[in-house]
Amino acid sequence: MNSRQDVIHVVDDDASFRKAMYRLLRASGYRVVLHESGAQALEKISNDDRGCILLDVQMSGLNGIELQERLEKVGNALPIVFISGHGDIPTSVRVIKAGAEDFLTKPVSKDVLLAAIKRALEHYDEGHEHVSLINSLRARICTLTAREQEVFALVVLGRLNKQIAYQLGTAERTVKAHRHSVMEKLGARSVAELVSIAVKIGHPVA
Amino acid sequence: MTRRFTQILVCLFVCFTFEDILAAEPLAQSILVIDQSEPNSPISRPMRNAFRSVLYSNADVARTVYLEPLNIQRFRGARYWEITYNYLKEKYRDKQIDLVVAFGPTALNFISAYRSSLWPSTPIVFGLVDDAVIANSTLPPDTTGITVHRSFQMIVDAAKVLVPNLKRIALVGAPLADDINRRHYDWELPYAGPHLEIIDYTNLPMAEIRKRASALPNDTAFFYTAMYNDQSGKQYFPEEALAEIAEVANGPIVVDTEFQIANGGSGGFVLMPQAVGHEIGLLARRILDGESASQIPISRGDNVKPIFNWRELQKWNVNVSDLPPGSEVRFRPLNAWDLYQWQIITIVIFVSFLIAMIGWLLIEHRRRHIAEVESKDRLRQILLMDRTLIAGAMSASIAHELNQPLGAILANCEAAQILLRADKLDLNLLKEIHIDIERDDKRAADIIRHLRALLKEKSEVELKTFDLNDAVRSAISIIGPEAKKRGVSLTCMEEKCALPIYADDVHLQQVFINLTMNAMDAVDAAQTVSAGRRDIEIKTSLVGDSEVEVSVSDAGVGIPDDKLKRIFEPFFTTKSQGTGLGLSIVRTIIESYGGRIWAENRSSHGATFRLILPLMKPHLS
Repeated sequence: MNSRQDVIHVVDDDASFRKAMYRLLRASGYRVVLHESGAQALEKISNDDRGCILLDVQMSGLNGIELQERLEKVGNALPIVFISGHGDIPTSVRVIKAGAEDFLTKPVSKDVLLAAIKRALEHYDEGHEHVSLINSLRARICTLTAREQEVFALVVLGRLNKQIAYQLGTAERTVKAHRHSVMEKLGARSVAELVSIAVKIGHPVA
Repeated sequence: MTRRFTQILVCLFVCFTFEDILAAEPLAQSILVIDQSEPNSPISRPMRNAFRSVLYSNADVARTVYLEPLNIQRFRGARYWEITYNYLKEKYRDKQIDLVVAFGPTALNFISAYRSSLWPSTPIVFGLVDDAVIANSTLPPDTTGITVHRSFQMIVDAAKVLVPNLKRIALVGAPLADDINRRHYDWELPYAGPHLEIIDYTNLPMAEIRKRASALPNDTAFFYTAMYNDQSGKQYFPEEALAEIAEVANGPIVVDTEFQIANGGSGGFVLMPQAVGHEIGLLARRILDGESASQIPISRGDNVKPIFNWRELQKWNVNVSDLPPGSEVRFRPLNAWDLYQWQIITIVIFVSFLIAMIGWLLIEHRRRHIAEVESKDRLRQILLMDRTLIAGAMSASIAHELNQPLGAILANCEAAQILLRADKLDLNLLKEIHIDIERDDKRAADIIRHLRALLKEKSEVELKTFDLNDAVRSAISIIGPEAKKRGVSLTCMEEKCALPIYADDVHLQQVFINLTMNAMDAVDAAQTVSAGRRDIEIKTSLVGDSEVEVSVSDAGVGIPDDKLKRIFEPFFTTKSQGTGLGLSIVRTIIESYGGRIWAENRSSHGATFRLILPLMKPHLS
C-alpha cells in the first residue's frame, strides 16, 4: 500500500508534535519531511515526489491558511491535509473550499490520520495522471507547424474546409492536407476527438 | 393791738410747729410686743424674728419694736401682774405706742386686763392663741388676730399614723390643765375615741415617768406637752425633758410644736412659730398702714403642719408613704440625689446620650462592616466573572494550546505501539518517546494549572509577596496562545531585579491579561484600517526605589483624546462586543493595592497603558 517514494510533509511550529508525527509516520512506512514554519515549507516543498502535506492552521508567522494560498500560487500539486489544534467551522469550510484534502483536529488518531493520508495520495495520483495527459497533448500541439495550428484552431471552432480555405486565402485541397497532418500528429481519428483535445488543453472551441 | 398780734403770731407758730409734728408722726411707729414666753424660748425667737422682718421690710416709716416677755412659765400670780403693769406704765410713759401685739393667751389676757389704763386707744393684735381659747374668751374692742388650730383629735390622728394598731396614748410632760396653750385638749379627751385608753403620766417625777414609759406595751403612743418642772420640782427646759423621756419611751412620741421634732419627738401636726410670726407681721402692717383693727375679722392661720422625724420613723418602722398628705419629713439623711439632683440628672442625660451615640455608632460600624464585606464579596465575584469571561474569549486558543501536547502524546503512543509490534525493538527510540510523552503531559497539566489558578473561586483574597515579573510571565503564558492565534507577537521587557509586591497574584495576572487583550483588540481594529505592526510590548521597570511601573504598549488604533479618562469608567466601551467592565476592574484592582493607572496615546501610533504599584519594603518582606 505504501510506497517507499511517498513523502509526507509535516508543517507545524510545535516541535514536540512534529517529532511525534515524524515517529508515527516513519513507523507507518512513510518518508517524512518536517518543516517548522510556513516560510520554510514554502521554500522546501516541491512536486517532485508523490506525497501530501500535513499542515497546522495556527502558526506564528505564515499561518496554515496563508501557506495554502501561497502554495496554490506556485503550482503545488501536493494535496493538503489540515491538522488543527482547534477545529472551528468557518476555518474548516474556508480551507476545504480552497482545495484542502481534509481537516482533522488534534489529537488525531492514527487510523483517521493514515486514512486521510491514503485518500490524499489517491487524489494526488488522479491529479498527477491528468496533468501528464495535458502535458503530452500540449507537447504534441507544439509539434504542429504554424499553418497547421491555424487550421486546428479553425477546425475545432466547427468551420468547414471551404470556409477555412477562404479565411486563410488558400486552396481547399491545401487545407485538407494540413487537417490530415494535424489529426495524424495529434493521434485523433475524428473531428470530435480533436475538439476533445482542444477542451482538455483549454483551447477555445465552438 | 401789738400784743394781740403777737398772740396770733405765737398761735400760728405753735400751730405750724404742731402740724409739723403731726405730719412727721407717721415717719416713726412703735410696736410693743408682749410675749407670754421667756425671751429665748424655742418658740419665741423664730416667731419674733419672722414678725420683725415682715414689719421692717418695705416700710416707708421707721418702726421700732419693743419686746416685753412675761415669762409666765416661771412667774405667776396677781402680784406679778400688778408689778408688771406698774413697770410697763413707768417704762413707756414717754413712748407713743401705735400697736400692741400679744403672743400667747396669757399675754392676751394681760393686755385685755390693763389696756384701758396703759394704751386705751391703741389697737391690739394677738397671735399664738388656739382658736378653742378664743372661742371661750371675750376680747377688748379694736382687737384682732390670727388663731392656731390644734385639737386633741389631731394628736390621735398622728398617733394612729405612727402606731397603726394604737391601743393607748400616754400623756407626758406638764399637766394639761396647767398649760394654758393646751388646756383645751383636756376638754377634748373624752371625745378621743371609744377604744383608746388615755394614760396620764403628767404629774409624776421624771424618774417615774421614765420608768413607766419604758414598761408600756408597744401598741402605745406618747403625747408630750411642754414640761418646765416635774412633780418633784426639778426645773427643765421643755426640750431637755422631751429628750430624757424619748430616750426610754417604748413608743413614738407625738408632739404639737415644731422645735420638739428635733428633740426626740416623732412627729405630728405641729405649730410652726415662724409661720405665726409671719402672719402676725403681715396683719400688724395692715393696721399700721391705716386699717382699723375692728374691721379685720379674726381668722384661723395656716401655721400647723404635719411634720415627722425621719430617724423616729425608722426606729418605729413607719413608712413615709403612710404619712398624712402634705407631710414633711425632717432629718432624712441627705443622699447624693438630694444634694446633687440637677447635676445627676444632667450627667445621666449626658451619659445616656453618649451611650445612645456609642450604640448608634456601633450599629453603624456593624452595618458598615457588613456592607464592606458584601462589597468585597461582590467585587470578588465580579473579578471572577471577568476572569471567566476572559477564559471564555480565549477558549479556542486554550483548546488549541492544550490539544498540541495531547496530539503529540497520542501520536507518540501510537508510534510506540507500532514500534512494539516490530521484530526488533528500538529501545532507545521507545525511551525517547516515553520521555516526550511525560514532558507533553506536564505541559498540558501546566496549562490547566494556570487556568485553574485564574478561575478558582476563592472565598478570601490570598495576599502574599511575589515577584511582579512572575505575574507578568504567568499572564503571558495564559494569553500567549490567544496572541499566537491572532497573529500578535508579545514582547516582554522585564526589569532585571526582583520586584516584590504584596498582593493576590491572580488579581495582577488578571490586570495584565485584560490590558493585553485590550491591546490585541486595538491591534486587530488597526489591522482592518491599515496594515499596522502587530506587536505588543509589556515592560516592567523600577520607579525610584519604592515603586514599579508596568506599561502595555500597542501599535493599534489608539484612544480618542476625549475618552482617555472615561475608558476606566464602568460600562464605558468603544468596542461593539465589550462589556465595558475590563478597564474599570483593572483600575479597581490597581487602586485597591495602592497603585494608579492611566492611558496615553503614543506619539507614533497606538496607545500605552501605564500602572504604578508600590513595592514591598525589603524589611517587610
